[in-house]
Amino acid sequence: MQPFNLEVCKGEIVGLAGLLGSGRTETAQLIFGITQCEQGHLRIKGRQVNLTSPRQAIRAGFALCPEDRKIEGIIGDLSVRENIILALQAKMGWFRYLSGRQQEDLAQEMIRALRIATPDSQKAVKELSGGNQQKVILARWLVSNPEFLILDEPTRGIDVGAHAEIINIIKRLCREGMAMLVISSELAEVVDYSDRIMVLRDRRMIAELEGDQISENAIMQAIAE
Amino acid sequence: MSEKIVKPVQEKKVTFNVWAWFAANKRALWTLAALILILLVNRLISPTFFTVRYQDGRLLGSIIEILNRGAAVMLLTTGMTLVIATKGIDLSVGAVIAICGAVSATLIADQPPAVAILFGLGAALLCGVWNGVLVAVFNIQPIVATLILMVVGRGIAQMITNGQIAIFNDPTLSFIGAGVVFGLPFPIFLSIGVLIVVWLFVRRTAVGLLIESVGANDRASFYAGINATMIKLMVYTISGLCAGIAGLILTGYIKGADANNAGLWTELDAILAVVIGGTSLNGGRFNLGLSMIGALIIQSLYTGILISGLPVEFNLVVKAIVILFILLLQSDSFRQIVLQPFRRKTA
Amino acid sequence: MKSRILPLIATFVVFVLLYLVGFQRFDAFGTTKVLSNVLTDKAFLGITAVGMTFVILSGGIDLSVGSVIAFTGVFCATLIENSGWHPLVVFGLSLVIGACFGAAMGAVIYYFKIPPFIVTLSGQFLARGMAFVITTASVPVTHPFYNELGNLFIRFPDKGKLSFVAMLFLVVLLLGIVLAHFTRFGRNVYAIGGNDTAALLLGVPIRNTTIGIYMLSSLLATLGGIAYSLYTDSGYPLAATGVEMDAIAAVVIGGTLLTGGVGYVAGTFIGILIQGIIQTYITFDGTLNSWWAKIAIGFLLLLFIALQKFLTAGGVVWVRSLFRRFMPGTAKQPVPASGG
Repeated sequence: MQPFNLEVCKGEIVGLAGLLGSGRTETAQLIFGITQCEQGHLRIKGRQVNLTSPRQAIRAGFALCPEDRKIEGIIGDLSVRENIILALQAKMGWFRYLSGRQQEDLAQEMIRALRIATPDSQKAVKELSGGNQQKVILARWLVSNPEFLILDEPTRGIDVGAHAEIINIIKRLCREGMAMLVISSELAEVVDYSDRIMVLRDRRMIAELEGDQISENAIMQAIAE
Repeated sequence: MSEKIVKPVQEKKVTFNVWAWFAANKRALWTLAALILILLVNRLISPTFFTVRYQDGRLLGSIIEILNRGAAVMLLTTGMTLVIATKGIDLSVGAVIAICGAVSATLIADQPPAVAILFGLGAALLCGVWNGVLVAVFNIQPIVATLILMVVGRGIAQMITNGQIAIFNDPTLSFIGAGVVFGLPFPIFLSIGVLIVVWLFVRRTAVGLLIESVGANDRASFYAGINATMIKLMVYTISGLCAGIAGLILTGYIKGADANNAGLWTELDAILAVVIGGTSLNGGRFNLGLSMIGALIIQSLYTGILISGLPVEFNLVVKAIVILFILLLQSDSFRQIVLQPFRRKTA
Repeated sequence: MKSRILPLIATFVVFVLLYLVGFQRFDAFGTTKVLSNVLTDKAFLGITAVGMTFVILSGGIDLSVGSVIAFTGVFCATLIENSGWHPLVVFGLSLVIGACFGAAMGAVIYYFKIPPFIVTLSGQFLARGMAFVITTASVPVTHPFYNELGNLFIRFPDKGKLSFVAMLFLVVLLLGIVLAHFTRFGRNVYAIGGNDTAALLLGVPIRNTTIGIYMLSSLLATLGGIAYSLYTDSGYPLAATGVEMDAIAAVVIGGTLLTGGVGYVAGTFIGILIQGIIQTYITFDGTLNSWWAKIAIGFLLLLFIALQKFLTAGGVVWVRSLFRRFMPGTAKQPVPASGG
């Protein structure tokens, strides 16, 4: 990846657009601590940090909804409830245990808020539809109270109804002050909710669009040049 | 928490309904049924199977014997359940039994029993950590990583005892294997005690959930911030420790450390117990209670064959057939294929 | 492709090194006698390991082979000695039984989806148990045919002689190599081991191949049992305990990955030779106890696994990840490519 500057503020959505293979997921992985960079640094609220693992990133207030839901996101055999509280529980450590009731309360709250379609919280996540699985992962991260949320293809492989719901959730989170980085191939959607868009091609940033500059044409033009 | 317009959630009671659980987990039902069946068959073979009598300050009876002789396997099964739940396997527990026994039996000659026991368990712990490091840090496949210790371990044990069977007379060590407390053999207390401690550790903390998560999908668990390395390291360490305690029991019982034969093939029994108990070799959900039932099934089988008076030669064959039968019953595919003709009639 | 053959080359290098170490210490090591003795002593293990290679290549495992060897030995010895049947007839019959046994295990694995580890473990108990049922004591074989085969060998200069069982081993080895690399069955085995979902989609006959693999393994284990019986001139129900682990060790040392899909039958051959060389060294030395052989083999296993880890795709990344873990702040970490 070629170096470039990326800044995200509270309550701001930065979109990351580009073709497959342009390095968008790599960027997300670099930020979240899954891979390390050779040069460059990360600053959170002005303070420099070095994140070498997802655990550290989570502790710093980051969250990542990965691109490949099935392999990197849901734990299929576990229940909806367990998937939702997983990141929070991992953050709390081995010995501070969320009781059954606490788990159930959190899960129900999320199921309600995100409108996850499931008869109860004990259902195995692998039995849910793609859209609902995505919501479960989103719920997982929201429960852990992040300040910066990275979404990698949040609407890929999801039915149209869930699409709209997830986009609403994204916008609502933005209004409530969450800083977000959204990677998406759905140009229309990215243009709709992003405050700024960075366009990547062949692992380098080639354009940064703000405000009026944002449009699908602008993105495609930038890629084509 | 991002503000959401949340309607107050009805306080949902999370209670544990045994019947509902069994209905949802038919497999567990079959497992329990298998144990009951074996016990009943044993009763048919030997009318005094369930009788317990009090004699010379101790309780005697076949049931007691099953729990007593099965203590070592139950200990191994406890650790093995956790390891298998992380999608791993521990083939080395038999060798660890030999090593622990060798260390304690050798040290007991001129050290106080506390030291011998401590060092024996320490050696077992070290073996567990070794396995854990190979699997969790170096990412070596569990079957190969533990195979190494399985192969080398007995060699090490023999080195420690210098090729002899180290015998001793120490009362403390013997007590672990053959002592009696409140009329019941001490090993029973040990195995149940360890089971309770481990159960508390995994089910009254987040550890159990984390183990299941790592076993079911360790990549996603990594992304969710779980320290899979520590979890895996821990389960192998526990397995090693359990094997060490089992080693003390077996060594104490025969008052000697036999590097060649101590705990021979017990790892296979433990693995079988876990699988019969319903934990998948692919990792994920585990159930200590069911694993214990699996261990009891194996032990009851042994005892049943013994008291049936069948010539010793038939032991293995009966064991193989019964285990295969249980596995088939548990296999969903088997039940589907076999019950298919019956199902059609009721459709 | 390069990373696949490197473990094989590494195995070979280790073998040569071990041989040289032995040669440097004992002059007698250089004679053909040593090599031919190894081939004879390890013939039964080698034949079995060839079968095990196929099983592991497919991603499975067969824990029953040791017991099958014992059962075959006892079965043959009893029928030859007590019922007076001719050895060749008995051999033929036992091969049929072995093949059926393996096919049954393969069928249970395929149809009922029970893991190979567990099914073959039960098979181990069953075979060993049947051996005990036939006899609990050793049955020596005195049939003249055994003597004839025992006297059959090819002489080499330098006192080496290739016995019948050794020749059998080499023939099985060659057939194994042909089967693995030049037949459709072999390709199917590699395909299943590599990725069984892809194999299914590609039209690989999973059912037949699975049953075939375990049938082959038991068949070769039976043949190994016949070799063992010829080698020891007896049948003994307690024979070959733990042999499955030795076979697995030989396969792993030979460069085959336990996950399947990668490996060579020739590698297993070298793995067997290595075990034999270590044994010979210990025998020559006289002062070392047999458990040193176990420790040496365990150490080699560890070495080869580390080597495999290093050489397979991502091996270099793995080493770097270790560096990162233990020495944080080490510069120059690469960013691995991924889609997106």
